[in-house]
Amino acid sequence: MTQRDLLDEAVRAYRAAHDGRGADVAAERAELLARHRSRRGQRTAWLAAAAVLTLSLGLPTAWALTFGPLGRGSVEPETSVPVPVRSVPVPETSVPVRVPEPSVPEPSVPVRPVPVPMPEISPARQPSDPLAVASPAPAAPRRAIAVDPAERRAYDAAHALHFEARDAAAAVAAWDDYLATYPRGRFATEARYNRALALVRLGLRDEAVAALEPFARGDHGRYRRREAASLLEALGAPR
Amino acid sequence: MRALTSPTMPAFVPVSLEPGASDELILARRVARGDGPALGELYDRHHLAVRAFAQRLFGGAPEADDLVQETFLAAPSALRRFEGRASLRTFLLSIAVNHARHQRRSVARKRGMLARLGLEPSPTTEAPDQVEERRSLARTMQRLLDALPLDQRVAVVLCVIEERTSAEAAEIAGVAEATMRTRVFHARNKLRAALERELSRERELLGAEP
Repeated sequence: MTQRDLLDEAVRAYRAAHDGRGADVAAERAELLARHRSRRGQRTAWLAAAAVLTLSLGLPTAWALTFGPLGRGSVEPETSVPVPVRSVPVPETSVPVRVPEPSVPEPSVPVRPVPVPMPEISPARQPSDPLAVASPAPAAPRRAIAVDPAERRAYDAAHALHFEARDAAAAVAAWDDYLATYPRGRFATEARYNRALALVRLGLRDEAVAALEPFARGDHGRYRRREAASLLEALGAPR
Repeated sequence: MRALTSPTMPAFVPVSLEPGASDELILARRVARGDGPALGELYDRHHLAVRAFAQRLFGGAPEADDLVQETFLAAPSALRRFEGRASLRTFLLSIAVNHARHQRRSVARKRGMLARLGLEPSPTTEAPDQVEERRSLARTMQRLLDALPLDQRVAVVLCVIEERTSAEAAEIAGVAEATMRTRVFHARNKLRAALERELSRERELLGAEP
């Protein structure tokens, strides 16, 4: 086979291997619309905050100009230069707010703890590089807690099934195993949330809703609260 | 009414459209206004093409799905600049190319790590010899593409793998057509040289076996 033939054949094989199929379209679409709604809500909140800030800074200044420092009559400014009223520029385009991951079907940045044996890094931390495994550990960990190697292995195994093998059914079973063995484990919260995502991916709506509701309620603090709420809305769960 | 193709078109998105506006332009305007159902419709029409491009750019890595998400999430903002001169699909692919730059380094590191740990994905089902050979070729192609700079890789995916014209590929990538042709030329030469090295290595290995 000539060099050209081999390249052509490799191209054909590659094209056929990656034809855009194989994704969970329904879940991906739901995730997209949920994140879109979340972004719009954040933008609205930002604009409202900007408006309040503008008013709170602008009104006292206008009052002082008109009535003077003691509110008794107008006061001529000492200079002819108008006192600038501070205003907050409102962007024309939406604020590029990064919606935290993960989301259905997979998070942009997998919820995975940095595997530093000591000191331990909170797995809720989201490294910009999902492969922080190969990266130096970030500085200043919040807690120095040793993790049972067996627990770490169990978590990593479930994580690999979920994010690398992308086998949602096996991932649910693995998350269940982890949580049965380590119900109060170091990564139990992340495991519960990842399990919820896997249930969404499998189309098990009722179970997914039940798994997401605690997060949306704030039972786990602010962890994934907004994303869980967005996912529940996308799943059509009653409020 | 100001022409929609005016280069000084403001960021404000007009509610009304001139008569005869294309279906794509109408959809783009709706998406640009933040219309959720319109975004869903945009996704329904174009997700396959965007995902195919993303998969070919990243070799089917999970980052390809991330790129699809990021592309459609960015669409409402980006489509404020859409004037209907190119197709919506072309416009979406250009968004994907821009976002791909952020993910490229992450994917390369991940694949390198998986290779070092011997965790290259293997076929999940038994396949006939020919299917396995095709998969082997596809994996080879993936490795070769990984070694290319992003600009050349985009050029190969668009012009060689997806067989788009250099004009269309140039529009997607936001470069001059001559630039796109040059990138394809250099990329092809690199791919052929790399394939030749692979062939030579295989011949040596076969020759060394007892």
